[in-house]
Amino acid sequence: MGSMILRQTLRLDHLSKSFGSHRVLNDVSMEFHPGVIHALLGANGAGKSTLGWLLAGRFDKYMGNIFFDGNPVKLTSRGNSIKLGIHIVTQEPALAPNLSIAANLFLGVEQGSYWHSSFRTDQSLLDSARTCLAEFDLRLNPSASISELTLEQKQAVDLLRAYMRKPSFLVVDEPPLNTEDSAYSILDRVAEKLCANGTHLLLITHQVSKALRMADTVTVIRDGHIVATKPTKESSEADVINLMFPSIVSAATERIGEDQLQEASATTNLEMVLKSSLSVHSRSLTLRNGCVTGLRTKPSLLASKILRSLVKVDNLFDIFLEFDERRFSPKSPKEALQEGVYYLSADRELEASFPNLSVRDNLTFYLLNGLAVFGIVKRGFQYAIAKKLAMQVGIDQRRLDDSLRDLSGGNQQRTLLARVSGANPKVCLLDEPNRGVDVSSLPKIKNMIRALAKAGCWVVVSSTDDVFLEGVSDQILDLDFRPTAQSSNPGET
Amino acid sequence: MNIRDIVTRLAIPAVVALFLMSVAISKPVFFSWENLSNVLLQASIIGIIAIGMTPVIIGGGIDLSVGSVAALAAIILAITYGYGYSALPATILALLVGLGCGVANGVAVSFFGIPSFIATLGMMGLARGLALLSSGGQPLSDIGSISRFLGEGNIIGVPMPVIIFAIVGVLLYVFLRRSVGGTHLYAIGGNARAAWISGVDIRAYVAGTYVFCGLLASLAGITVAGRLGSAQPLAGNLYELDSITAAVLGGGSLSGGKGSALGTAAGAVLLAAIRNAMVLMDLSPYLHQIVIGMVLISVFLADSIRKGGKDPLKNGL
Repeated sequence: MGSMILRQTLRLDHLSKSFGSHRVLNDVSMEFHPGVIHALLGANGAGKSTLGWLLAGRFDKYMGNIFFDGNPVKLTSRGNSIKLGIHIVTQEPALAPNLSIAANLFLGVEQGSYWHSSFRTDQSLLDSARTCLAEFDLRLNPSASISELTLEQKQAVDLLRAYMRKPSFLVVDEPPLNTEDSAYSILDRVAEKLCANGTHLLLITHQVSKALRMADTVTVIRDGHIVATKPTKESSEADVINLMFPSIVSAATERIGEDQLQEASATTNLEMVLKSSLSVHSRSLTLRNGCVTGLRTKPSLLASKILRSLVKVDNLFDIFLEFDERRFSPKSPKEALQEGVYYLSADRELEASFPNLSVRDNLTFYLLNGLAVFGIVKRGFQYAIAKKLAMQVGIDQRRLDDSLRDLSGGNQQRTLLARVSGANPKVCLLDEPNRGVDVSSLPKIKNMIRALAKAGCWVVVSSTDDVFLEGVSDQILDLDFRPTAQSSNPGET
Repeated sequence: MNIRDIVTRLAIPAVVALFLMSVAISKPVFFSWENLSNVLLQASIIGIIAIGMTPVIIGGGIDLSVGSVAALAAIILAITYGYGYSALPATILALLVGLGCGVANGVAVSFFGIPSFIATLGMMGLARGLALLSSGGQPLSDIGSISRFLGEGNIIGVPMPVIIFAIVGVLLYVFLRRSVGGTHLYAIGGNARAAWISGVDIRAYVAGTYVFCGLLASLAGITVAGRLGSAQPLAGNLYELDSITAAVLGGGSLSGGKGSALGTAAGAVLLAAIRNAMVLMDLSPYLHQIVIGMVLISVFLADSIRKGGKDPLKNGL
């Protein structure tokens, strides 16, 4: 069973970690106390995730010492860390996609009692999983396969899986703090239960306000250095943001005025017609040209499903676009692209990034055919365009030739967003475009999305982060698909 | 870069260099101009096939049928020629046979979803069986002038196999490094689902890699027949081992998304140098396969240790 060994203070003493010549963590000293929620805050690329992974035993080499209850420990392999009960939940859920929820929940829990676990009947496994899901009010079928779940649900299952292992130290890297209806409350409740048991909880995030709400202690990391550690009570949001981004300029997002909105809507509207086998779910939505439309659904995961159905990555909805009596209903993502409908998935690792390609190739991926003569890419053009796009999203131009996988998660997300916006889309569907992007780059991203709309693109954004959604959208469409609510006509704001 | 990184990166080149140096000391003839050009000639047959194998590996697949397809193409060439057709149509038919085998592999893998390992393993048996059946198991010596020229001819002193190797190598280099299609292929190997969502026709690309591989296998088969002076149904035995080893030695990864034309070419030449040195040292020919097999495993071992030793999580399993 999961171990409950670490009951004492975990102390990091002058830890450093380098990748090549790049020092990601520099002389980091920290202390974690049992039962305390500790938030580690920092910008993209500050070294947050590296520290999390270091504790989880991903790196076999690091400088400095780690003490548990005064005794030195070596976290040089996953095995070592797991023996000490250190578990990690990452932004991209680490689940076996073809196994059931139940199988995933118990995967690895039965370590050391192999025979016991293999004699366990499927039924008892399902029952235990059902109990566990019910404990957190998750209405999911334990025998459903992971691949049928939305990202949000996967994150919830991933979190529960960590909980089932009874960790003594849980690292949660970029927890889904935004979600209102499921994952957030699950994180809250998991945290509550774990802390009552004396588990150390380390939240790694760049979302200041929500981290401050949850955590007892915050530590701010910048360029691999710890800049401050304080009790949450003594820190205000502004203070923390100042520590994270000493040079932040509060860039106000430019908004289209109400009069312009009317004008724009008068010219060209795009109807998005949603059909579903249940007639109550059928809708017709109006997207205004030159506007960013926020899509918010209840349950929240359906917003993503709607966008995915539109480009046929998913088939939940029968959906098409109507524009001046013309009807777009692509049969494949390729056809959608040919009609100028671009989709950026929320699942970066599985569905959006090309980790082995250079940042330059990733940025210009949709443009390659236009940059080529007889199929041979004109390098000069490609560099020029990649540089321009990199500048727009704030990616270091010296990194254009690096593999995308060498960039931090937030920088990858920005690269992918620039890839879509650079393609001159007619309709742009952005699924959680702010995912993994820190506060300092959010204005850049917002401006980019707004510039897209201004250039005459219909932009639809789905996000579970209401603050972001309201900040970026000109209009928000609220759709309620819950069977209990009898609202067949969607409210618009 | 830590010590382990340096050691594992340099281990195989260092061992090969040590080996070649010891050969050079005991058999100075190894580094003679004549012998080295001989090495290049020996490298070119496997080189042509390995160049065909490289895009397949980049796309995340593998082609085990190359040796059998090479043999079948040569046999078809000899039979057609034997029926009285002239060399050109016979050669074209032989190339079409290789192309056809590639199309069959490609369709099986990318349109019917059969794992490449299984589809091409099946083709390996099928093509070999057809070669044996249609030739009656006997070598056929009527192979025509084109095949003889490709195998034994030369242009201003450069043997034809070397020229073919160079041409297909440059073609692949340009495709992979400079073309839109090359970038799309690497993208498929790196993240097929993202490539599909980004509108890349992954089926066509993946099928295309097998077609290219089959075509080059038949070209190599025709060339080998020219060098041997006959089409042999058992020729091309274990070509898949050598060509995969060359591609992997040159930086290819069997999980896809990695590999290059230059790397594969260098890998093929290195393998030929090792074989040649073993011949010079009078080692048993049976030992050659053992050594090549060990090279293949060592390349993976070094890569695996570099990525994180025995920890399965770090090796991306």
